[in-house]
Amino acid sequence: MTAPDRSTDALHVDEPTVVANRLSKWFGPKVAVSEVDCSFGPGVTGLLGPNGAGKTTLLRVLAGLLTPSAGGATILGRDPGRKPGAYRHLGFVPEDEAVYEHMTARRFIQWSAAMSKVEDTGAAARRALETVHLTKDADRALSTFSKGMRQRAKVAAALVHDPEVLLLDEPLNGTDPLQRARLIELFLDLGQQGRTIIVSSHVLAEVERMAGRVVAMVDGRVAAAGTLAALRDAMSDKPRLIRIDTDRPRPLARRLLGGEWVESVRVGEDGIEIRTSDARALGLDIAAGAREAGARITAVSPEDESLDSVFRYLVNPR
Amino acid sequence: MKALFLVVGSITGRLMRRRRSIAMFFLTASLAPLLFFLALGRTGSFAAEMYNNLTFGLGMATVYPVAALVVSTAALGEERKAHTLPFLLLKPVPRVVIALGALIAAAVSAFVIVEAGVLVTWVVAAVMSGDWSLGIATTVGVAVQCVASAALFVPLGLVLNRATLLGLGYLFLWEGILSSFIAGIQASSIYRIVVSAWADFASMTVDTYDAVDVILGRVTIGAGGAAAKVAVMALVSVMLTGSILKRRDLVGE
Repeated sequence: MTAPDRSTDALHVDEPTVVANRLSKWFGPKVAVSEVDCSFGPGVTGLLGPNGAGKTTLLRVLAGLLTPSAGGATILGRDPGRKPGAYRHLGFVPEDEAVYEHMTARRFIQWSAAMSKVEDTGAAARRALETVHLTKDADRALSTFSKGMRQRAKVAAALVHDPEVLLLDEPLNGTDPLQRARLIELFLDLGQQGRTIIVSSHVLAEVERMAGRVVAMVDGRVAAAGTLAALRDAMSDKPRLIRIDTDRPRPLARRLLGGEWVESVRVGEDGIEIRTSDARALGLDIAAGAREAGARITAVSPEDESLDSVFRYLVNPR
Repeated sequence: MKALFLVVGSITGRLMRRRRSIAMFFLTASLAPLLFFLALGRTGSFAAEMYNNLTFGLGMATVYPVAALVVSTAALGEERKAHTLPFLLLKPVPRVVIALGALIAAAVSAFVIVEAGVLVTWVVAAVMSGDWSLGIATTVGVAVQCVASAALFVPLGLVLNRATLLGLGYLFLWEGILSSFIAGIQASSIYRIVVSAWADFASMTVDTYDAVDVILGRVTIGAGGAAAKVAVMALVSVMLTGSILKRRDLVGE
């Protein structure tokens, strides 16, 4: 029997550092992760999905914090849950806001470095604090930190031993726009250095900015994987509901109904809602339609663009 | 060895947080005003006897075990409830070292907190009786108590949300009632192990000795035997906690 060729599969990469092998995890009757079979390699991979999709559980199983109910996971060829030595090469940022509140940021990061057997913990902590721009607040107790600052302290603690693999569970939660931009830049930089960075998020725009590859999860399963462009292609035929605010809804609706991509139109007092099978074609037709109908358009907005609806469509297009 | 110190340091730092330490100190020091009012205006030997009676009859039976229980269940239980357990577990440190560190941290923290209250009572007893050696036996008993409580309640706190409540039930039912009536289980009673260590160092009157003898039942007086028993308990506890930590599913979904 020969092993399946996974090199060309969107779910797998050529030189995997993190592997989920038909991985399932259930808690009593609830299936949190179901038969996830994929791999991750150097660079930034976005683990994308709505809340409750199983991202956190998957990351925790990969990190060895949870035992898989079926299947298995390895990081750099080892199961860290069984071989704690693997944690020298792994950094993990949990989703929870919790930190050691009785420690200062510097002490927490130095402690993490020492626990990871870093020799010069002081220098390593200084570097990590600089990396996340926390040097100024390094000697403040973590209990006084905002959520965003705690996130950065956790990122610094996960980075301090220079790991090859970094698992980040919603690391941008609670950060301000400037810090978010800096963290994204940092993750991109780490990915370019050849490290494996897996970042979970339920915000498509965040993942779009940092991840070259995306693994999308819904209901505990991998719904799609590949580059963002491939993911967009997979979603392109999803019927979309678009709202157009205009001063002349009826003439505009009549004009747009002519397009073969329009499935239905609902006319309101100050706008119309169009269900379309091809949002891109509709978008191109709106300006011409408005001109011909003599309508002034004040806003065009997607009505069902939530990540949840997008991913549910990926799982079950009908 | 360095990892062990780091684990002990981080858990002790959290266990010794101000609010809990102060509350437990007041609980354990509550015997001091009680002793003062009971022995006020009486002889020094009465004060010494009253101190001994309060120590083994109230302190070691209820007050000190409750304080040690509260601290011990929090050692890893609080890490789990506060979601900080991954910071400990995701390190290249064997789980048995984390378990040993938690046991040492719980025992040391409980000892420091309980002994602070014991010192206050000790000073009151010494001033009233003129005997400054009274508290040495209590310190030995408290040390045994703290190790035994840590051995029993650190793993319990790790797996149960209501470990403190269950621990209180254990103290009341097992230690307080069952082991008083069932001679066969007296050897496994922490209270009796602690009193047997304390009695080895305490200078007792005949009445106090008789009362201690009744409480101990089949357990013989001896600090060495008590130390051996808690050492075995500690060893089993570390293996058990290490094995629970290896089982992993402690962080939930």
